[in-house]
Order: sequence, then structure tokens, then C-alpha cells
Amino acid sequence: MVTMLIVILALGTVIVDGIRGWQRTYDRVYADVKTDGYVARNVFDRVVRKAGRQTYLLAADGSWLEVYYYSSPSAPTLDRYARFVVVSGQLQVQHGVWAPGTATPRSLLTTETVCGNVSSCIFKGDGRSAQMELALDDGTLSATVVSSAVMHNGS
Amino acid sequence: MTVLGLGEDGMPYRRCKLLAAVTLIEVMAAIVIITIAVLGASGYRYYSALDARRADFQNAAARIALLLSENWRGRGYDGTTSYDPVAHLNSDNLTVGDSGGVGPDYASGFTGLGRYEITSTNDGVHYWAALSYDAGADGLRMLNVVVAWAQRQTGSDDDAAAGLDKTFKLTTYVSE
Repeated sequence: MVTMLIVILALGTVIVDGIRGWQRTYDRVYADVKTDGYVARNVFDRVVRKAGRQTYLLAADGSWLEVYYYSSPSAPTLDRYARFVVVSGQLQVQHGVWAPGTATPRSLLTTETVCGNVSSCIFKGDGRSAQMELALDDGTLSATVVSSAVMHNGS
Repeated sequence: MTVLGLGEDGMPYRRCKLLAAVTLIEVMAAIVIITIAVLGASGYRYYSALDARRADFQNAAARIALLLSENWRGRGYDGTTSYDPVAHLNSDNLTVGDSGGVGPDYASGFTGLGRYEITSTNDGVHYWAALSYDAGADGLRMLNVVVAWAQRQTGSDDDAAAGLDKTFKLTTYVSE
């Protein structure tokens, strides 16, 4: 009886450990921190790639990045802005109308929340490309996303 | 199971009665079957974890290749030959350094720009990259990035560099 009990306890321990290990593996692939990283990279690529290459604005400390794009194929000039900024641990993209030289050069239209759990985010500019170094941490898992995208539009 | 009862004459007697039960042999057989099942599940779990880790490496390598490619392309046509990822991409999250010639081969027929060792600070995994370019047609350059890594991580840089067995290759174009 005691032997059986020991064997059953050992088997139970192995099974529980297996389930925990499986959960860890699952979290490494599908946890919010991981999927948010994919989303952030794709959004950064999508927005920066459609931006005009003529100009962009970067905070001195790299805390935000602003790029400009055309609202439509028929727009004669870059008339929209997209600003990447971290607000309360969330990476946001603020889209708005850009009218340089006017009294209100920026009028916010929409704010797109890309992801949460942001522990740090640094933007850089280099030539016609912009880089984003995004660190995500939910307290149990952390992930780092380093992405670069070229601004394509414009002559 | 034996049950003690009383006969018509008042004398006690033992009566055998068959009840549902499991024998020790049945229990042992069940334990053996469960053990085999658990061991099988452990193997499944081991290979799942291993493949997930390999996928992580490949995913990171693809991202690094894309990062180098996009950053290099962002320098423009004229900046192709003077591009230096050590100067442009070194950060707290990603360490980029000259590998001293260690790394994958350049693309065939391309002019080598340099070989670099890249370390992901988050997980400490090392990658080696070879950047090369080709003039191609007038006003158009091909930029090739090869990122290599050792799928069997040994913990030693030298061993890892010697055992580079996986590569991710990316070619992009930059126009004048």
C-alpha cells in the first residue's frame, strides 16, 4: 500500500510539473507581452512605411516620434501626422491633421492604442529610416522589440 | 471476502462472497500504463519546448535581419558603402560589434561590407551577421544580409561561432 502511494505521488508530481512546464512554454509563445510585441512591430512598420521621407520629428530624448503622411493618393502635400508616444505604460499612435504654417498645425483626430505593459520605449532616426526599441514587461514575462522601417513616400 | 454467519443449527460458519475489487497485479499494471503515458507526454513536452525555443531563435534572427536591412536601406543609395551598424544600432537592448571576421559567408559575387556579432540583451543569445552589396543595374543596389546562429547553444561564444548551423537571408534593393 505504501509503495503504491509513493508511486502515485511520484506520478502526480510528474504530471503537475508537466502541466506547469507546458503552461510556461505556452506563455512564452502566446502571452500578451509576446503578442503585443508582434502587434507593435507591425503597427510601427505600417505607419512609418507609408510616411513621407522628407521630414520627421524626434524628441531629443527619443521618447516620441512624429512622422507625416498623405491622407489620400490625391493629397498634394503631407497633411497627416502620426505621433508614437508612451502614455501611462501604453504605446499609442496619435493621428491628426497636419497643417504647417497655420495657427493650429496639429489637430488630433484619433488615438490608436497599440499595446500595454510598456516598460521603456526609445525612438531613433537614421537617414530615411526610424527605429523603435520597445521593452515590454507584465511582471512575469518580458520582451524586447527592436524594429526599423524606411519612410517610403515622397520624392 | 469472508463473512461470518450463523447456520440453522446456530453454529458459526464462513461464507465466501465475491465482491468487486482490484488485485495488486491490476494496480501494478495500471501504474505501468500510467508511467508509460507520463513518459510519452514528457517527450512530447520536451520536443514542444525545444521547438518553441528554436522558433524563438529563428524569429529573432529574422527580426535582426529585417532591422539591419531596413536601417541600411534607410541610409540611401549613397550611404550604402559607408553604413556601419555598430554606430547606428548599438543600444541597451541590442549589442552590435565587429566580429573580427567571424560569421557567415557573404552572398556569392557580392562585395562584403562587414561581419558583425549581435547580442540580444534580453535573452543573451548571440547572432552573427554578414552584410554585402552588389551594384546591380545603374542606380540600383542590392543589399544582402545573412544572419547566422547556433541552434545548439553551448554558452561559449567561440563554440557558438564555430557551430553556426542556421541562417536567415534577406535581400533588398535601394535606388539612387
